[in-house]
Amino acid sequence: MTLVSSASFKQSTSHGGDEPFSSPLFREVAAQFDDTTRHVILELGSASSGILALLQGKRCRLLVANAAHTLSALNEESQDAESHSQVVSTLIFDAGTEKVDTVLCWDLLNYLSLPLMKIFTSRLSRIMAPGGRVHAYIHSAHATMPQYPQRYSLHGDDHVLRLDRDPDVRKTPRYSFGDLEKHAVGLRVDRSMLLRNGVQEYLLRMKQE
Amino acid sequence: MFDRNKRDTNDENGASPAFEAREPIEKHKPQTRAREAAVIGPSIQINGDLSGEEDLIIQGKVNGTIQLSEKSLTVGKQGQVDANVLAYSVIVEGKVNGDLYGSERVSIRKTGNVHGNIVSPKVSLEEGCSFKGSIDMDQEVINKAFGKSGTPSSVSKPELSTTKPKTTETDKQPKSEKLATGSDAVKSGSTG
Repeated sequence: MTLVSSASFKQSTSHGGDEPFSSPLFREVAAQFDDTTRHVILELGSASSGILALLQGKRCRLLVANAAHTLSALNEESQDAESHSQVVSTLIFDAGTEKVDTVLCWDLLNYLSLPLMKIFTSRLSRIMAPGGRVHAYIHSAHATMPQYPQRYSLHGDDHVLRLDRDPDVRKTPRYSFGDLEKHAVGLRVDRSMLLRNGVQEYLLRMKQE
Repeated sequence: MFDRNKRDTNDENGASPAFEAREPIEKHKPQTRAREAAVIGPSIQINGDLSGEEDLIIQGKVNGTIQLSEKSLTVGKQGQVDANVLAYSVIVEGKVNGDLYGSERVSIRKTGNVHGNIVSPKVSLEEGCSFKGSIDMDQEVINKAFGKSGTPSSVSKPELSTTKPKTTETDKQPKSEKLATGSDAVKSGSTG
């Protein structure tokens, strides 16, 4: 595991900033998408034109769960773990006979309670391929974050841009590397990097059986 | 049942058919100019399989299957389609609950709401649209779905299910199992 911290952290009050930002770990992930090997990608949020443009002409299948808001709202519902598990399984559908190679989990983990994160990652580990990866952004440098998960999209060839501009904020749980290691079922933190806008970029991998 | 709109006509004055008998003989010559799209109007509901060889605009409700192998389908803003669709190009401005096969392109406009799977070499989603399902732009899958030439044929086109899709709900699983799509036939290869 490599933990990398950007040397020049740029203070921002906009929780991820409004400027396109460089995302080195995603660049590595995207480099795996090509026209020779079949690749299944799960987008937990909504699909964006940037991702579609990236995948055009590649041997890729994109699953769009469009579930970020619903998942984040589960925290506020007083259901037992079994009920939550059923809801999560419905929201995060599988790829049929295929397994998911890459999960795009942009701006979601911070919105899940730790018990819900266990349920969520347990579901992911059931539908992912061995060695599959989860790419995640987590607000970690600010005390507050937007009230709801924000949508991000690719901007140009190698930058990411936040699409939403939610003015309302809530307290950031600031999940740490240790929190993810402990509560992300079936996954281990492979690499992490603090970006200049205060967002922590994570690459998690399926644990080998 | 079908309401043809935008038909070409020689009647520049927009004369009513009631006066046709008084029109010049030229008026009664067979119309040879190609029609534009056929339209299923907002008050029309069709239950069953629908196929054709002209472009189609749906503003009403269709439940079943739609096959326009070499033509375009537009689901208008008022359209509600509960069907699997096979067409040359598909444009969605209304609601679709079903799988969309576009041999050339599938476009979901900002007012579009699609719950299903898309197989097409070119897919565009406008900002503001709602989509839940899978998008397959893998050429091998597309070739398998439309035949090796990439053109839909009566022999190799996907077998469209006639089972009525489940009611659209935002968080329900897309019915990917309904069509024998290429995605089921292609084995996943993890690149991780």
